[in-house]
Amino acid sequence: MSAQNPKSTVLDVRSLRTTFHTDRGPLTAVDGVSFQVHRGEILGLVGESGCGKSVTSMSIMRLYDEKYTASISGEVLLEGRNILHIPYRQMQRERGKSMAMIFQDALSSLNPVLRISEQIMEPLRIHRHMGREEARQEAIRMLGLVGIPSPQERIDCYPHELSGGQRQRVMIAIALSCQPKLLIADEPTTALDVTIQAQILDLILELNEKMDMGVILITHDLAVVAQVCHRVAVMYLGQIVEEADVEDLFDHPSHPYTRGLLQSIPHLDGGHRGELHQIEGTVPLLHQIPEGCRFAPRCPLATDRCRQGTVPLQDLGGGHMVRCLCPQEGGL
Amino acid sequence: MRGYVLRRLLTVIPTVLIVSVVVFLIVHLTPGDPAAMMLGDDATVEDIARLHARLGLDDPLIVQYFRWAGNVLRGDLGYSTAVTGQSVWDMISTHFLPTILLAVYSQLITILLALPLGMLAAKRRGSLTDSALSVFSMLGISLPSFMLGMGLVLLLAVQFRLLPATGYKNPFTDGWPAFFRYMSLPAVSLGFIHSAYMMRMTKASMLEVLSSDYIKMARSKGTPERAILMKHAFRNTLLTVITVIGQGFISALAGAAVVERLFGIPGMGMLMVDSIDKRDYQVIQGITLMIALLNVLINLMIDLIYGLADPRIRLK
Ligand SMILES: Nc1ncnc2c1ncn2[C@@H]1O[C@H](COP(=O)(O)OP(=O)(O)OP(=O)(O)O)[C@@H](O)[C@H]1O
Ligand SMILES: [Mg+2]
Repeated sequence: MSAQNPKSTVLDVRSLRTTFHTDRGPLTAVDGVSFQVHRGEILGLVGESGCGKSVTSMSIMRLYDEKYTASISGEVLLEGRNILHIPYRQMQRERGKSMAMIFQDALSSLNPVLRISEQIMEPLRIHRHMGREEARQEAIRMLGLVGIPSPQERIDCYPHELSGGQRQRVMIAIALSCQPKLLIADEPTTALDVTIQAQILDLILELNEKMDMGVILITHDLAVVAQVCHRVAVMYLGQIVEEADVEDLFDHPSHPYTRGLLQSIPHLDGGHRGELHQIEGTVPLLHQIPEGCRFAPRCPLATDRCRQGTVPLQDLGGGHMVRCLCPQEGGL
Repeated sequence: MRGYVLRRLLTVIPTVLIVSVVVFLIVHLTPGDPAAMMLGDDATVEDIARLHARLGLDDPLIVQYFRWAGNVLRGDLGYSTAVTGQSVWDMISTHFLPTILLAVYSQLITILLALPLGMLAAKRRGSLTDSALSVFSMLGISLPSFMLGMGLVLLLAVQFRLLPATGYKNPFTDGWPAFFRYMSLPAVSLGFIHSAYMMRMTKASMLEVLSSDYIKMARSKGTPERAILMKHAFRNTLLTVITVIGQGFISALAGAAVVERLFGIPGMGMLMVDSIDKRDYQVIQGITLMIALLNVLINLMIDLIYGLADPRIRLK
């Protein structure tokens, strides 16, 4: 795992900040997020709905319209090169080739009027400069690789002719077709039922090992994180509040928010943890971000000190980072 | 796809039946006695009664309907009551071509103008181009076609003498260049309103498509912007716009009457207006039926094209 066996860094995000231009003025949905992803590593990005996971991933891919929708600042180093300010055309040469993305809803993410074949062959033809026939053969191979039965026939289907799980597999096949160094999977299994969910996760895990790519797995399912991720970053209101290797985080959660999240999972390893815990209160809206520690209004341990000044991330050692003035020790 | 076409064709039958009944009833329930009208003011009651018997006007409506429908199926639309000896079919068929050509030409102009401009406005939303196009389309929507027509005639025909002000040339006998010289002004004035509307619809539809997940997905694959527009967005945009194109044809047929009058084109609209003036019920009935059937046909074609363009439709 990454901590013991440092590998080359695929993605280095530094002080990423995304501000939306809205009718009610600027809204900063991601505020100073920094993390790294290494080769062969799966980084879990977790947090409640609305904490900025998708915005983070969309910003890394630069999929927002930077003229009308959002401004992004900071640095996004893809294998050492900052891609945040390269021109659009150059960006299009990176997308799909060195970085790819899987979206949550495969039905709406596949073009309804184009055959699957067309959609998988597209990146192969663009980035790997294949001819039609070669691309088609490779597309069939990719469909087989992600576990679509009889891919020769399936390849000429339209998206609506496939099942939800198959569509998700098709999307994974598209994303992986050019063997990207970085894969961002934004809740790739939320729309699927439990058995298919497990199959898709296994597939991502298997391909991650086979292709040695870095993966950002966005989810709000901590059980999934425990199963497949190497490192975890916990987000709250547009900031990372805790980041650690997965065992470390589950064994020694330090931030009260992380502890709250962990206590709200029914059972991780089969055993019950007593009554289900709920974090008090709700996530504040983006234009009502509290001063000081952003979690303070909901934190059972908050003191006056927490409500003044910003709280920096501090290193607890062993790559365990936490944004809290009184980090907790020990297990739950 | 074949099943879809078949099913769609079957729905035409009841539609045509209903259309024919409505057309028949409208003409037969309008007040005024066609026999009295044909014979003029100084006809005797006996003359009228005799004509009634000859035309079968005393039979029950249902009998009259089936006799009429049977005749129509054989291509016999009856005889004009105003111009003696003229068959309605002959009158319609000579006036049919100019109207159809005018409608098709005006819609071609509309589509060629509105689709690219609508897509451009969506692509460059918020820019100066977009604002200029908005003004242009507002103008188009609020300007009646006869006003635009008169303006164009004054400017291009009277002032600069570039194009003839009125008249019509048959492209098959007089050649296409002559046809275009005569028909361009009418076609532009007929199509302009709709092109403004179609441009707005194209822009709205394109904006929606551009913000969809599959466009994000396409961008995340590294698809170049031109392919995003032409391959991923265009066909989906077209799905909405196909309906608008169909409406355009239908409203062009309806609007043709005014433009034909203005430019002196011997089309169906002209014939219709003349026939209404003369209370020529047989001709009115024939034209109404033809226009209604034409609408049914256009809608059928739109649906079939829709089925071709959207793979999801064919299954249902
Ligand atoms: N285009 C946008 N314009 C304005 N605000 C936005 C936009 N996209 C996202 N936001 C806001 O940014 C915040 C973070 O949203 P984001 O989609 O990243 O949440 P998330 O962590 O992915 O949640 P979920 O688990 O529900 O997917 C939300 O408050 C959301 O309202
Ligand atoms: Mg999300």
